[in-house]
Amino acid sequence: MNASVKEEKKGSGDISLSIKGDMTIYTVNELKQSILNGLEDSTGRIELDLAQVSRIDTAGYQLLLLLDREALAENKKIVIKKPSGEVKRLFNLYKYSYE
Amino acid sequence: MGSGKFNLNDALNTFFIESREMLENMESCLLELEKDSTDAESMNALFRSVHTIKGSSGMFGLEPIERFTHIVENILDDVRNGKISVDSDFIGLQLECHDFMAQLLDLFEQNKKAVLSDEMVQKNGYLIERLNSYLGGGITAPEKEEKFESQLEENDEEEDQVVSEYWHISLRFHKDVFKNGLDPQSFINYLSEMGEIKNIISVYDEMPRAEEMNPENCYLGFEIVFDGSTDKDTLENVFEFVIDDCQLRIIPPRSSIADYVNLIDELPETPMKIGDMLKTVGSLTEIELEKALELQREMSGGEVEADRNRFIGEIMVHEKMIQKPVLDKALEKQNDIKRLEEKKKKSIRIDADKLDKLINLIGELVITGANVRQLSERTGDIELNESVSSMSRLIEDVRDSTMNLRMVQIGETFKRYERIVRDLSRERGKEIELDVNGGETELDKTLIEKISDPLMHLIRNSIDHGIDSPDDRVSRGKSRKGTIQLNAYYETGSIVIEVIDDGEGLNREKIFNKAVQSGILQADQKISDDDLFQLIFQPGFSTADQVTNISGRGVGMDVVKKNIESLRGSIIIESEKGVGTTMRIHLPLTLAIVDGFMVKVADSYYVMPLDMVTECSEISMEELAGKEGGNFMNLRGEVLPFMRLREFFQEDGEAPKRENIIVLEYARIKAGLVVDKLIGEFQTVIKPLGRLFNNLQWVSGATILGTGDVALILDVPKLVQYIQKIESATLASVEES
Repeated sequence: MNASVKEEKKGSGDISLSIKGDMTIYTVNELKQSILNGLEDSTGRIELDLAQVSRIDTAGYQLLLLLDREALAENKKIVIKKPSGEVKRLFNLYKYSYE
Repeated sequence: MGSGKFNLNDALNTFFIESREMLENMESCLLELEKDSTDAESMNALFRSVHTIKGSSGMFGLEPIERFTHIVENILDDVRNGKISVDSDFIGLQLECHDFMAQLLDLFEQNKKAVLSDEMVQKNGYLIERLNSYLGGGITAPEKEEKFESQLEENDEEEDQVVSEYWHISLRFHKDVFKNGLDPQSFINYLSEMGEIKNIISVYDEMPRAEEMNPENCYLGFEIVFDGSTDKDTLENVFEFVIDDCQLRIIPPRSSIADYVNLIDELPETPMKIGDMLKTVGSLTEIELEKALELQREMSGGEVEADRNRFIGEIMVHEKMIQKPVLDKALEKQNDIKRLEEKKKKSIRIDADKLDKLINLIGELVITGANVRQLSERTGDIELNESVSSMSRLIEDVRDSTMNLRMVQIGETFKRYERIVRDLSRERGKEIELDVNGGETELDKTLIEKISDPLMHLIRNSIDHGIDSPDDRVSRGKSRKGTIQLNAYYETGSIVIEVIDDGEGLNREKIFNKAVQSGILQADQKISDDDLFQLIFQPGFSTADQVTNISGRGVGMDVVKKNIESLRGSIIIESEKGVGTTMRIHLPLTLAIVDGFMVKVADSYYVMPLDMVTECSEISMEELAGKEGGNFMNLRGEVLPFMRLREFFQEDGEAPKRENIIVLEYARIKAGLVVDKLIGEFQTVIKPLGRLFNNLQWVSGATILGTGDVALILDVPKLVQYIQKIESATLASVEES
């Protein structure tokens, strides 16, 4: 049960965040900080790569909502890339549009 | 993290136990419905059972069970709504589904990750196909018309209805929901299986700014538009597990705008925001929303135009008032059902091992108590004796209530046979009704478990060989439908269970001939019906088509008898040709602890269960002696066979001048025992004698007295039968000579 966030600068203020592992109640605490750091580092687009998320629960989903809201407040844009099957399933359930 | 951790395995075990209970419920409801298809209570109970299994199997991720029960539930819902009519084919199919669900439960209890065998997959598909055949077809068309009509009617009644034909569900979770180990998605998921989630909006306005936001807290809510033909109760049940951790509001389809106004009032977000959400999610149209917001403003606005506001406010209240009586009635009914269920649930589960341990301890306490009593009596100290005797009384009470814990009504077991009677009589082309009496009779749990198989066999036997075919019955002047009676009641010192059929009765000649053929009887031998019928309990004894051809069912009648005897019980058969057969089982009431009656012969103490002792009296030698070789006495005009315990156990020494006789009764047979001295009532615990004495007859156990002496506990049922047997043999010879 662990998770990691890999941050990559993409130029012109864009960054990419790849989350690997679980996005669940057990990992949201550590994920929150890394994700918010990423948000701070960027000045434009944040690409969120969710291809390697093995599990996600509602706590993880809530964290994405937080990121969404904070980005909107700072006039930045979140782009979700390659959600894994698990993530897709949850997005579909909550009818969360990511494209 | 993980503060809300609970033991999943325990929960899973409870799930299996409860699901089995639900299945039992399901079966009995189905059988009730077969008798009376309009029985709404059974219908609802049936639905609830299946619904519960579905819900909890979903919670535990046992998908195959969930999927299957979901379909069954759907069908039952249609039945409940009157779209499908219940006939015997339908019940048959549901019973098959019941069996399959039981199979699934068994499978997953062994291994949570089990995979269905090919056979089960096939069965699954077959059942689903048959279930679906009830769902599809011409049934849906008229239903739509109906819906339309009712919609029109409703529209006439109330103008303020919203257009939306869907449910609106509003959820706000409490902060701790994640920490309590719950994940809202499982409930939403579950909901989505009951119908279609038309739309869902995640609400997170309550979520604090990023710095203060604790990601382990839940700040979420959902506004859901849901399409499903279900009722409010069912929807509430979806969120049953999380009900304490959330605020749930459900607005039924085509509710009045006022309901939405209430919702807007109650939700934490601003009216505008909620209004927006309701519009976005699709529950309210633009116009409806404006109307609702206006109403809401008018109601809560206050200061300006106070009079007008009050006026409208009153209208709102008034509107509610109109609905109130209807609502009250509905609530009342709901409460009634709830109360009933609560009453049913006013019990707790206890591990049988714990109970056994307690009973063992009580047993020890009883022995020790008896010791103390004897010792204190010896001291002659009156005060001490008084205290001790009140203590003994308490111990007795404790013992009784403890033993009662193990007592279970036999009705539950009886209920199970209904299914067998139903299925088997169909298979055999017979019409049979099972008539159960005395289901409230209580028996020790272990006793019930052990008697249920032999009983089942007797019932099968009655169906197979007792009850005749409908045509035969009519030609014999009986009703087409045969009856099997299942009775349970108490009798002196024993519990009686009867299986009575009104069939052909045993064929005396056939049994006799067969017995002669196989060399058990002489051709000219006289034998009582009772003894003759006992022959069918002989291993391998069969009159082929008549008595025991229980085809490959494992136990034969000999095993039935053996099982009953191993419980220290007995079975007798009464049968009259053309009228029917009665199989009567006597089981001793006695458990590990008994109220005993103690007697003394020479230097030995003997105890017999008090409830088998009917009377005792002093008796002179003259009354006992000189009855032409037989041991009989005249008990108020009745012939009472008796036996001298002194002779029987070959005690040394002389009998005292005046002996005592104890009259015992078991299974309607009376017999006397002559002993030296009566000691009196004695509470005791039966201790098994150990393997060394396994083959010891006439004694069922032993107990330790306060003096340290050992008293033997007599096996009264065996003794009584033995006395009856040898004495009736001598009686016969006396009569003949």
